[in-house]
Amino acid sequence: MDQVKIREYDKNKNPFRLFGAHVAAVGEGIKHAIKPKTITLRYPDVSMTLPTNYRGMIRLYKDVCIGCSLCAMICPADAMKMTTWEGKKLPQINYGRCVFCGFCVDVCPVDALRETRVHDAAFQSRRELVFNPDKFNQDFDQTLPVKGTVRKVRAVIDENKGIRYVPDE
Amino acid sequence: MTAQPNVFTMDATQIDIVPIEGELNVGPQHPGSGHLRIYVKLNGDIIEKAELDVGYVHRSVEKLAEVRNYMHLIPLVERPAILDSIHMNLGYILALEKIMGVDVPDRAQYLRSLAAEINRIASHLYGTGILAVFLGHSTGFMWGFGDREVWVEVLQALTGARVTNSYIIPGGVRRDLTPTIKEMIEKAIRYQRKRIPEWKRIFLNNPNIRARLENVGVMSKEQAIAWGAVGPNLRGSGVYYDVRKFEPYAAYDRLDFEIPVYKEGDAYARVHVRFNEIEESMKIIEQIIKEIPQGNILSDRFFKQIPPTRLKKHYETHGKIVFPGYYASFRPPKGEAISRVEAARGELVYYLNSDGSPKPYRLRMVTPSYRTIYVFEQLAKGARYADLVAIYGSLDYFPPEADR
Repeated sequence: MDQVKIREYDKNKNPFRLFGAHVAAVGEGIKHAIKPKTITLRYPDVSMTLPTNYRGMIRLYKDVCIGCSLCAMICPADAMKMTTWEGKKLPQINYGRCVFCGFCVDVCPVDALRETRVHDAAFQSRRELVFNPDKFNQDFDQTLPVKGTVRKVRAVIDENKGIRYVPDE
Repeated sequence: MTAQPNVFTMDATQIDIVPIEGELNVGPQHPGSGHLRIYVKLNGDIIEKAELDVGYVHRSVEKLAEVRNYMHLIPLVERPAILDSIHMNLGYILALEKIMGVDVPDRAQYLRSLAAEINRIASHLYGTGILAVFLGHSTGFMWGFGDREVWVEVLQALTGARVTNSYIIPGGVRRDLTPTIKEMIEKAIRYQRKRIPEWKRIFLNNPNIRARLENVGVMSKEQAIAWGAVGPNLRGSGVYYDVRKFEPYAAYDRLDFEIPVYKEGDAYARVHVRFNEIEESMKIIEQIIKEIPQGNILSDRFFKQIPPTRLKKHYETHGKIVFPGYYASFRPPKGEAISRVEAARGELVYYLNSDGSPKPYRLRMVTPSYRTIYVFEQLAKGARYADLVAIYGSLDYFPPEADR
């Protein structure tokens, strides 16, 4: 066992030191008011591209699927269900239940499921959240209802600013 | 209409001071970290009794655990403390691995520690932000959440999700550390090191904050032990106790780190413990990055079951583990296990009982915030009403974690 070192904080309440600490706090505030380190992203005018291995919406490759139902078995939220579709056993997903854990993608023995990097989506009704195998078979793409073009950015870690957004592609 | 007396010119003798007794409900819609009702009995502005009405965010994890299989529980046990999900996940997996008798490779152990320490920093920054906004220090709130974002970004690159990581699986971890992530972590550490003096100037050494926190909610060493305080709250009262040292799990027995312990036991000491722990965690992360051994990140027992074509496609090129079909539904042998981990808020205990079926017979989780409830009630007794939020924030109490 290591040496136990019990620390104590500085209890000095000298008025001059307190005044100095006040000045330091206000000074720090002013410094950040002049040169702010904001990391706000002006969504949806600016939209973030997520990293390559991000666990976003899932897409199915219908022709590759062998209908083994492992994805439905491992799904922790019962989002993935097997259905009979055009005479073949295929999974359907309910995004209202999905927790995006990515277990189904990892367990699929033939890589018929893949994660996309898309995560921002909106639906009109709950029924739309259920993707039948045909809808599930397409790349999910929803254009944002924004005038003009959406600027795509990528977050990088910066030593001085924390997070910096750089234009993507 | 009677004229209002001018309170500024009134003499103190003109006001009748009547001892007022009454009850106040704080919450359940709390501007802070979650839903909780504090039933406060006041005498003047002295709290006679504070009762915590918990259960607003109850998720029934323990009962649901009886009807789901072992893999399904990984996202579920994370949900109580979503900002501390790696620890919640790790504790459960450690208990499960004890029942299954799995050996975890060294690299996976280091990666578990790495993810856990990143999560600890993020969680402490969150807690500090919440404390700051309770005290009316909005800057601290913004800074806490802004700095946390950096660590969340690192976790996202490592695990694939911001907070719902589900990173740790029986036998190892899901994704390997890549050089890009290593670089990100190094940058994040350098950034956080630069930020700590700024934090000290605006928050920690700020006389306003000191006035609100010093000698508030004082808990002596004996009281902390008797009331069952855990984690930073216990260490803020001068008790040297940390599961990482006393019962090392993951790679902590091979890492060199200190446990910050403060003598005073007041709210300010608890905040100091958290800040020092952030610094210690960064030291641990640096060591892990330097010393991490090469090797597999999944136990051989499961690794062998992955088809070689998939292994080549995912593991060898992207460092991503794919699951063998075994994980979909497995039956661990009969038995019971208990595991302890040091989560960001303190000691987290899991008890798992397996009856040989694909579902656990019983899962019991004792979360650190659950043990804080009693401490909170005791500390609030006799305190000023204005100090209630300072005590709340300094204990880093997180309602969903306590309710489970």
